[in-house]
Amino acid sequence: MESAVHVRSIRDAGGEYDRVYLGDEFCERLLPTVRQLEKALKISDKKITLATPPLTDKGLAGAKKLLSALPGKTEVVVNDWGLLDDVKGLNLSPVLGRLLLKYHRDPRVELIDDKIPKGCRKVLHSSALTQERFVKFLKKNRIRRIELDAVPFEVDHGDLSGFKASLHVPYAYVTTTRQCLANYFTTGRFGIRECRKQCIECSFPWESQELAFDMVQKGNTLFIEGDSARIPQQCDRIVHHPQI
Amino acid sequence: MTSIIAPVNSPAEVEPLAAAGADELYCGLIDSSWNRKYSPVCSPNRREWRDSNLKSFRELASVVLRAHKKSISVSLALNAPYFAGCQEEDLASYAVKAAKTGVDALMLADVGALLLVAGLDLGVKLQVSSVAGVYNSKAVAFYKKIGASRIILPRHLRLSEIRSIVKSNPGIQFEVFALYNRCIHSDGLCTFLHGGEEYGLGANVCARKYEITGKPSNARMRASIRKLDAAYHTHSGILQNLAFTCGLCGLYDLVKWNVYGVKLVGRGKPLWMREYGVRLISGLIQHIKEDKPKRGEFIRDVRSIVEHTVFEDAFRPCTDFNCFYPEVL
Repeated sequence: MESAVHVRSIRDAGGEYDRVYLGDEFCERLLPTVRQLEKALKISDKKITLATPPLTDKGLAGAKKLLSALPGKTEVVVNDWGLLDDVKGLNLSPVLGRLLLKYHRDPRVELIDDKIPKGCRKVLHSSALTQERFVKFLKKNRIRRIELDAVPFEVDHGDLSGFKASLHVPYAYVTTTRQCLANYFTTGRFGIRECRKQCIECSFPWESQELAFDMVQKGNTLFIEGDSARIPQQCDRIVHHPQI
Repeated sequence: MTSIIAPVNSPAEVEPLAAAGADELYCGLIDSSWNRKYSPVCSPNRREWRDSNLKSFRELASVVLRAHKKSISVSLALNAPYFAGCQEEDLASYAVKAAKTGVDALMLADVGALLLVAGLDLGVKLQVSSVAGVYNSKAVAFYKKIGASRIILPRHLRLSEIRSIVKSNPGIQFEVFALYNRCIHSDGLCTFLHGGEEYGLGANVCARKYEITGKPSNARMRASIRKLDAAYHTHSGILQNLAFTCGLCGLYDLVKWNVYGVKLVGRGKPLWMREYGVRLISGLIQHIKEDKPKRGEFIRDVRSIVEHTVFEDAFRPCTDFNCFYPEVL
């Protein structure tokens, strides 16, 4: 099993990992600069994966510059269909990001399992990878790796022959936004506004007396504690997130 | 011309919405067969409550017939965030039955579902739902290649970002939201269950109260959390789901940029609210075109109208929280 770590800076990656994920899956403002990326590539003795988030036109332009700095075949986690052609065009290896792989990550799924119709239960425990057309589409677009969340219940990803999978631990993403509350908490203004990347320094635990699970907000995204022991069969890589 | 696109929830609502000024209608549908098999929790569209949906294809046919008599087109939302493989046959059957009613367009979000429906070659237009989360011009091109003729842009875009996308893609129609519901989280990137009250799930996770227990060391953070608390009348918590959000200030730019359509959210909202919203938008578009106000004047006019509407408690005052485009404030 390959061990990877997702960090902000290459200097934060410990020696025990085989691969380093740089970039960000959720916020385009947290992408590195070209200079930072080039420096990381130069000093790292580990394999690199660049994670990319949903992108605006401005973010897309920035992401394209990053792609150009990568050596051929480097893995790029794609979380926006708008970036896919550029990744393929530069002979990089596109990876299906967690935001483009659709399935329910709500821990309450298991609470209703015995009450809902069988068909509904099957859907709630299946991802979009069970769709034949979607899988064909991924293969046609040279996507051979899938990024998965360690959700605390069983999820059927179908027959993933031809794909490899990475499992992100210990938290599973559940929802995200561009109206960043971390930014609001630090600037006092809500909406999509300029930020000073304050979220890097802090995370906010959310607790509700009405729910049986807690969440943690890191940056613009809410995470739940995942079940790291539930490793899908096709998984050959664990991605650790020590900075959440 | 900027089209006003309104939600319809029964055949009898077509005429009042048309009279109010709606140019197009959209709806969802959960028929008894889908309801039995999947329940509204796995709705074929992003309204996981049966009350926000038509109940049969017969009803859909009636909506289409009555709308077409008024020269109004109708689109059917099949914009579930995703479909599982076990639903492909049922989804295809839904799309075929919908096409037989004469519906003008199908609105989808899931890539696999779009590929499936495009492959059926039903002779209906394909629209990409806001749930797909199209945030840039290249993503527009991606969906156009699959067969989309219209993109409904997600709520979480700044006006300048909308402009960039619209300007870069002249060959495709765009819709944006102008009134009512918005969550602080991105619809297309959210994986929480909606609905499920009948199975004991209670309110949506995004409509709960939370304690933020991080005890931020920064005084500004503490102050912001208190401000959010006051804004929502919760106890140090966050109520995220904003049922009365307004983006009417943005109409000036949207009309000038020739954005194809502006949409009201709210298939579950009472008819009078939808009629009122359509009239309000229609009047404001007319004001822009006929009175030719300056941008600043228009925004002032809108704020004065909006803050004194029948929704005054919900809308007043205009804040970052009840605004689709708070950068205008």
